[in-house]
Amino acid sequence: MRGARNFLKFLRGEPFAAVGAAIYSVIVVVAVFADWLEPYAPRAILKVGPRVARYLPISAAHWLGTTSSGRDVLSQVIHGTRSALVVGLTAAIAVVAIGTLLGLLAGYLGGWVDRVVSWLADIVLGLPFLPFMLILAALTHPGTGVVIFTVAALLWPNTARVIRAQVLSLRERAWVEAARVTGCSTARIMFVHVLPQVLPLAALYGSVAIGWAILAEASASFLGFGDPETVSWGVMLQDAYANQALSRGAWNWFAPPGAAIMAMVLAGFLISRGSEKLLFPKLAEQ
Amino acid sequence: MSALLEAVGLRKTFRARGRLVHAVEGVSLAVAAGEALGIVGESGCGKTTTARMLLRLEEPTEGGIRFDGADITKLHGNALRPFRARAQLVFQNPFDALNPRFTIRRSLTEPLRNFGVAASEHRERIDAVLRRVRLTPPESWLDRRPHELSGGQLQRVVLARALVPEPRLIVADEPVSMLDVSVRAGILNLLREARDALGLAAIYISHDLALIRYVCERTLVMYLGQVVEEGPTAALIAEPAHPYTAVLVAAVPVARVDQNRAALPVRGSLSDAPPTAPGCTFRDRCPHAMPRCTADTPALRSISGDRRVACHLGDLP
Amino acid sequence: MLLSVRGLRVNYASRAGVVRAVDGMDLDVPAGSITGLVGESGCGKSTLGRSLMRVLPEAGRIAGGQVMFEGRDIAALGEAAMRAIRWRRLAFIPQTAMNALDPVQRLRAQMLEVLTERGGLRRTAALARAVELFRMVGLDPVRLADFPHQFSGGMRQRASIALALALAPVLVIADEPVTALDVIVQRQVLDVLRDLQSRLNLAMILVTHDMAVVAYACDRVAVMYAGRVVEAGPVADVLERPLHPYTMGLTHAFPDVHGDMAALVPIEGSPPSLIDPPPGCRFAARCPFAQARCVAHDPAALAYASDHVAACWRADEAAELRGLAATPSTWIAA
Repeated sequence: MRGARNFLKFLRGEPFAAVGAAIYSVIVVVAVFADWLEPYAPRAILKVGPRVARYLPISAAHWLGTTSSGRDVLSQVIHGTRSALVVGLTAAIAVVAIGTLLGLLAGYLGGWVDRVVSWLADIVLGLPFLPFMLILAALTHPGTGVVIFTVAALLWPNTARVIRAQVLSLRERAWVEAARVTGCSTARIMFVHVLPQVLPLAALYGSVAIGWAILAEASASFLGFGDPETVSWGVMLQDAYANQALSRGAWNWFAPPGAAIMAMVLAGFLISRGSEKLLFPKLAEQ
Repeated sequence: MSALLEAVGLRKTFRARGRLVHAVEGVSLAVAAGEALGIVGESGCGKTTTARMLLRLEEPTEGGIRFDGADITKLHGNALRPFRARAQLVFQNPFDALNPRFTIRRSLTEPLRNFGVAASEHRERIDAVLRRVRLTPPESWLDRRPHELSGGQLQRVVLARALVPEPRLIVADEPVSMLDVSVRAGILNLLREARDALGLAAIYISHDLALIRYVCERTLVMYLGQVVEEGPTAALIAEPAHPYTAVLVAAVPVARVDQNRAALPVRGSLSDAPPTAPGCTFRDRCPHAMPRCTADTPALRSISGDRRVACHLGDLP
Repeated sequence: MLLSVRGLRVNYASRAGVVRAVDGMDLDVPAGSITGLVGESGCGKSTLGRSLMRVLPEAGRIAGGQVMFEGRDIAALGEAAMRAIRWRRLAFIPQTAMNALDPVQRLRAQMLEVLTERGGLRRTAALARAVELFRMVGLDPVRLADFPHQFSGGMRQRASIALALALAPVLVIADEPVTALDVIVQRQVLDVLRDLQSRLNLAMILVTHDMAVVAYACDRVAVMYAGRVVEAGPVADVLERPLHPYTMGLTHAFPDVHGDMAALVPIEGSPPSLIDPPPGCRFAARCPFAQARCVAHDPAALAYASDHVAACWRADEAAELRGLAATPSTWIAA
């Protein structure tokens, strides 16, 4: 309850974050009620009389027109929120979990743990994102699993680094020492005393990871490594590109999924910008 | 009287910016059950590091610590927990000593839980300790968080947290220096009361001899990592044997109009590079320095029954 | 009177409401003397210092009253006119010397900047003056080549004093200049301040929470409580014959290194909220001698001896109350 109230208070003070949160809320609502909101089945091939309804322009029946194979664009965009959320949230949670855990261990325990974590981070940061994902997709079954794994495996160092820095400064606080004096085990100090303090920061990095994951999914799908059976914004873009939607000027087909991706990435960015002020007030003053 | 806590030859060396810093250089001390010992000196004299080693919060580079007859120098992890339950710390800065997310109840439950006190006893123990530190009625404090409390109230909670596991030793590092003068007396009185009522041993760390005098029977004076004088607090203040102790006594601020405003009998400052061995580390600042002070290092020697000093003054070679 | 504050009010805007940090304050500072301003945290003593310098934080503003300094009302002065006085006539020494010193510049550069740009000295004259200032505060002029982080706490405070005195002000406001220091360094810095005061015939306001600092270094003292001065006068009078129970409490609140080992007397409770202060005497809730009139009506500040002012309904009975105030049980019962 306290958390929810604080969050609302924070949104009132931070217009950036409020816009970001609003975009996320709209996407969540749309994803939950997609089955009711989409006017047509997203993969249904629509017909006008006997003919497939290809490249229909914007109209009252098809607010965003149709695709080259006669599918309703609006319905696909609406349905795409689901895979976007699944990919985005799962990947973000994975990034935050791995990054926070490793950052916490490295920061609190120091010594060889710290060295091993920073060594792993260096390796991972050296891996190029798209080639890594594409090779993985080529070697295994392409699809959202690969996207999520890649985002989680390659993006944790950013989270780990800031969590580590935060933990390093928390470790010097007298109340952490007090936890030692009052008999807490090292694990208890890390997970019961220190971890709750860094979770807001971790969530901040999570909100950025959502955007990254969606971009990654879109890129993979666009390059043809997505799962063509799913309806996602990336697959839509790939479909549009492959069918020369660009040269035909069918912007009503490729612009909406593009805009949706941008909106979601932007939302993550806006939230992180807004909460930076909250988490690092001194930084914002400068 | 056998010692509750005994430390022999404690030494601590840090590596800072590639240089070795000798924070503590061979400190030995003992505290009997129920006794209060003061450690006095300026910042950087090693008094806090010494206390942290005694509580096993800092690894001694050398030396040994015995508590209640058992060697605790090498204990770690779970093996250290019984010691932790019996030796507690009162922190200097009450504004930073409590987990900001925890309620008072949670902060006080934490030690009970960790030290294996049955959950059914928690409430009773917490109520009793809150009454002891005069946060009454206890139920009106339990669900507050640190940011809702004043400095004096926070320090009472910090004291309660130290007392709740029923320790036998309390270490207090400048327990009132961050508090307003009007509430300092309240905290000092509580510490004295708790000691008397529970028969606790106590170690107080401060730069202020007036405070030490109020709470400790016996005092160690530290200078640059070494004990330079040791003895009953009253005698040590009345007749300081070490020139540095004399400076500390003269520097204590007093709230009286007629007082000695003569310049302190000391030269230079602590930050000036300390002279290297052999010799007394205080010699460059000492008004009584003589050739012998450069030639050989004064050892801690007994000057009367229970007083010891590390100074060549008055020592016949 | 060099500085004369009358009915000064300073408000801070906060989420919870308007905080009356200074609420009708009177203070006189004669030329060439050290006036102690003593009180606990939140009593408004630092706010007063900042409003005299006109360097209040954004949320704070002077809401009323007068601050007469050298014949002008500083409280009403425009920022340009204020800038002309600040540092030249009226200087500030903050609690944390690091706030006065630039961590990335050598002391020499910092001193020269003030002396040439604000003081209009030529470089060679400025350099000579910087050396003189360093000597005055007991620092080796060689150290002008150092950065602040190479200094100890006491040396930094000395450097910050030298910087404040650079343009030869007549009044210096020192905000808790020795609070963060150990006893020995504290004493040495106070000696520097006392020495400068008598040599340069400075006036100084020494803001502190410690009666002992006042006793050691000040000629006069004003005791603040909850935004007002409750007692003021020569240090000897106020310390030896306090008229206000709060002052009596403060003098028994901390141990003495010599003399009898009297039990310490804490002042129980905490100061009232300054958002909605109580109507009567603000100390009434903590005062062991409070009566019905104290809770209902605010006592005016009156002179009880020449130059010794107090705001207490029972100041006439002070001699008797002083005896009671020395007993711990008096205060615990309250």
